[in-house]
Amino acid sequence: MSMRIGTATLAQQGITTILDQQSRIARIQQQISSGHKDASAADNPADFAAAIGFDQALAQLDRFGKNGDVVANRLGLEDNALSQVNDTLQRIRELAIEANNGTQDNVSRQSTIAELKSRLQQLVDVANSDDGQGRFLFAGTNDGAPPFSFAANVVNYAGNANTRRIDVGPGTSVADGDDGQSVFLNVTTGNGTFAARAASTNTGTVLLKSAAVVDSTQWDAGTYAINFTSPTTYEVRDSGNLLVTSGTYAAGQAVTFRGVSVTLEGNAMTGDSFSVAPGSTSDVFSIVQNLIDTLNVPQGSVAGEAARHNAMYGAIEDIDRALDHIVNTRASVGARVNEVKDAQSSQESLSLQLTQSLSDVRDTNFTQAVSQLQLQLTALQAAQQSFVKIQGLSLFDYLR
Amino acid sequence: MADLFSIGSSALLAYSNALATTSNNIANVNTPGYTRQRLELQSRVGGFSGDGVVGTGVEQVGIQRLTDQFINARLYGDASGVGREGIFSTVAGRVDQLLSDPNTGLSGALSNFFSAMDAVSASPADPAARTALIGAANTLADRFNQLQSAFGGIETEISARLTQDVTDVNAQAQKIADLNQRIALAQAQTPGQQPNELLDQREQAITELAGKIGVTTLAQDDGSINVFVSGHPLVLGGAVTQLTTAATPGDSRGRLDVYFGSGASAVPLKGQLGGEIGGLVDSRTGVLDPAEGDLGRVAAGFTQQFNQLQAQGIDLTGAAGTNFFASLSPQTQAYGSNTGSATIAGTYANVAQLTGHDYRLSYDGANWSLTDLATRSAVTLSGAGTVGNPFTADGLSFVVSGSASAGDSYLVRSTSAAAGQMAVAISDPAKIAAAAIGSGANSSDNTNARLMAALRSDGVLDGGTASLSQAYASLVAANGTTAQQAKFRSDAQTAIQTSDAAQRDSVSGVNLDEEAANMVRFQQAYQAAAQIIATANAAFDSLLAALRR
Repeated sequence: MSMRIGTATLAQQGITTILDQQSRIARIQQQISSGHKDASAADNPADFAAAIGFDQALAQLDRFGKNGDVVANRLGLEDNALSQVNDTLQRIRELAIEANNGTQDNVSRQSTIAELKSRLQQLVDVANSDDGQGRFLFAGTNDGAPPFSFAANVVNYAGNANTRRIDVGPGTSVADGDDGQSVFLNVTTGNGTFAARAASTNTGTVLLKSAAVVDSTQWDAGTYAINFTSPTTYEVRDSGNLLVTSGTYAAGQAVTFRGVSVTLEGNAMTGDSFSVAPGSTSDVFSIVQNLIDTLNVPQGSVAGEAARHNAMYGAIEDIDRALDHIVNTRASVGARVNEVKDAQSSQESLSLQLTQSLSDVRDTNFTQAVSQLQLQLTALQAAQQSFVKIQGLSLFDYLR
Repeated sequence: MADLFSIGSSALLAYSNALATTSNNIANVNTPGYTRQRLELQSRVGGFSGDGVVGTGVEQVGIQRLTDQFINARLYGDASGVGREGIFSTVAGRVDQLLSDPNTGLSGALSNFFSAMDAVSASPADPAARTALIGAANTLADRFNQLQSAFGGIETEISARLTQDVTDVNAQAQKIADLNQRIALAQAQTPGQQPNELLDQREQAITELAGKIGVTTLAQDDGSINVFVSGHPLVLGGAVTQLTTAATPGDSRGRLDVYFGSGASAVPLKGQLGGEIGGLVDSRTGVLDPAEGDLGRVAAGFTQQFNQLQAQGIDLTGAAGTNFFASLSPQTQAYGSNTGSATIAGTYANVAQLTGHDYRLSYDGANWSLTDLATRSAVTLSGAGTVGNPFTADGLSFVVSGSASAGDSYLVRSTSAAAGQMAVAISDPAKIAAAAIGSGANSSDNTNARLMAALRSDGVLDGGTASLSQAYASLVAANGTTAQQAKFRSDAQTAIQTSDAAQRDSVSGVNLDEEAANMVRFQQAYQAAAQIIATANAAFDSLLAALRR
């Protein structure tokens, strides 16, 4: 026997079905309008928790990207400043070569010296440039005040040797600048390996033409002296005054020992001497000041001119080292900018993947949702129609 | 011929009553708890005559309720299950909404805070970045506070509902007791006849009671039903023992416990209570406590780790960092029944070991003991409770001062109150200690700021395995799972109840078509019975006419 159905039960069942369908439709409607498949964690705890994780990771990537922009901006400022330093040093080098020309006299050199002085001040100003927000570019992390002062031929650095590393990617950090000490105070003088210098007591007119390393394996970074024992002979002695080599001097012929070669020109006098020693560490400002001081000594005699030429040889060599140093720093800045760009582009692709994953766990599949909505609407219609049909049927209708 | 009148009138009376019963059924088609009734008829015993036994008409035995007591007992259980799971699911759903909603949840505020921290690490001396960090920190602290106060609101509502439900239970119990008395009286007065409407009302009252609190019933010979709650007799015949509520000892958030009886003889109701009361009580331990505890764990871990880093750095004025967030501590509260004067000062010894649970710290006159109230298990205390050697357990440490008496207890909320205490302690952006130790004033060193920013993904909680956002995500997921399961259980209970109610209605429910058919049937019988009287009258008339001739 089939089951008896209470009339109230029948109506209640019909209503329950309709309410149920309506709540499902409301749910799909919410999914479509919000774009999120889950209204709260209860709908799918695992996906919801994963979405929180992806959100955090995306926020962090976004932040890394912004940090990268900050670093790139600061490195841009630094490169800009360094390019000014470079240009200024180039100009100083041109002036030095010009002033060293034999056609110049003590008076005409004064105007060159005046420009060199203003160029030196310009270098100090660039070294003290800030980022537009009151933080000085070349002061390390002690960047609240101008780091450099240059007075009485003495440079004073008030910054520190620290640099900031900024996180621009997961596990990737980049220094957003270089401290003033490493940029301006750490220039190795000479030719980069050693410095050949004339003794101030020379009486001949021997000039330094070039000094180069020919075999770096033999160079022992010692201190040597090339001494003229007569106008046509020389000997090379080391710091212990032991004879290293000796030979006959011919103008324009290289003196070679311990892997280095020094080319001299002009007439030597007995007792003339040249030293060969490892380059020392100096700063950009003192190098320029040294150049100015060298030019500033008035010379009249032939030997005096030779002495100035030799001094200028060293001074210009040092300017070249300063230029090299700045170029190297700029190269490192450029490499870091590239590193930031690399990190940013790899984050962009990572961020794209994460966004996809986030979408998988959070977003509504619209095709599915819309077709489900259609299905539910049909089901609701059917439920409503059947309810009306069933409720409309009563035996009492036939009792007349 | 006189018998014909008697037969006819017995039928007229019977079908008149049958029609009345049918009408009554129709009238109560939508009355909750109504049980359909049927007039029971039997043929009247006939008189013996020489020609054989001639029937004497129809006899009304009584009006029967069509009911199945086993289905009814099931429905009491169903009502209790639906009441429990329904309210549990509601509470779990509300907590789930709070944690999931981007406007109330922590996720967004947490990631904004760390993004602001990252900005400070990128521009450590930039006042704008620093100010933005203080702002993000305040927003984050506000979110923690708001969640805690929303949990507090749910707690308050649970207490209010419990109070209301206990009042309802007592009223319902009284109603059942009254009905018991009236039913017993009616059955004594008219043996064999049931007071149908009273029985319906009592069934309905017990169903409603079961919706509030789970009950077991025991029918008595006199027709009354005894009702038990968790083994305690709530209704015995016509007598009621009322339920009462009282504040949970040591609790400061307004939590109530339900007791059987009142005054000194009150017994706390333990175990699964069922019904709405059971759901409310269980939702506190099953939903609110873990959510508050875990949220507090994130707050405590975050505060302590951040403050530690802050202390390791140098701020913009060149001074060592001071607390960024107000420091948090576990809440300890003495039971009202304590007789000693001891106070307990709790601190977080190791945030990675925090459980988030509430504890009871008790003194038996010689020793202190700690009980985890979530797992109901004892926790080993090490140390002596002194300043130099405090008690430690589960990442907490306690210092006892003053003297305790035997039997004194303290409620320890390890982290369940922490989220509400969260506050930013500094307002001056310069106080953010972004630089490493050794840096001077106005330094743009970011060594410490980078460490602070790395806290975003560092393992801080759960023995160092979970980062703050992971701990928060697992809190959201755990509560989401609880809410999901509660909804499944609630839906299942409702389905079972619907199915059982349909079964009850298949026996006891009114079907209008059936009643219509019965009406036609009884009407026809009534008309036929009237015809008997007419026939008897005609027969009698013809007899009189024959005599008149």
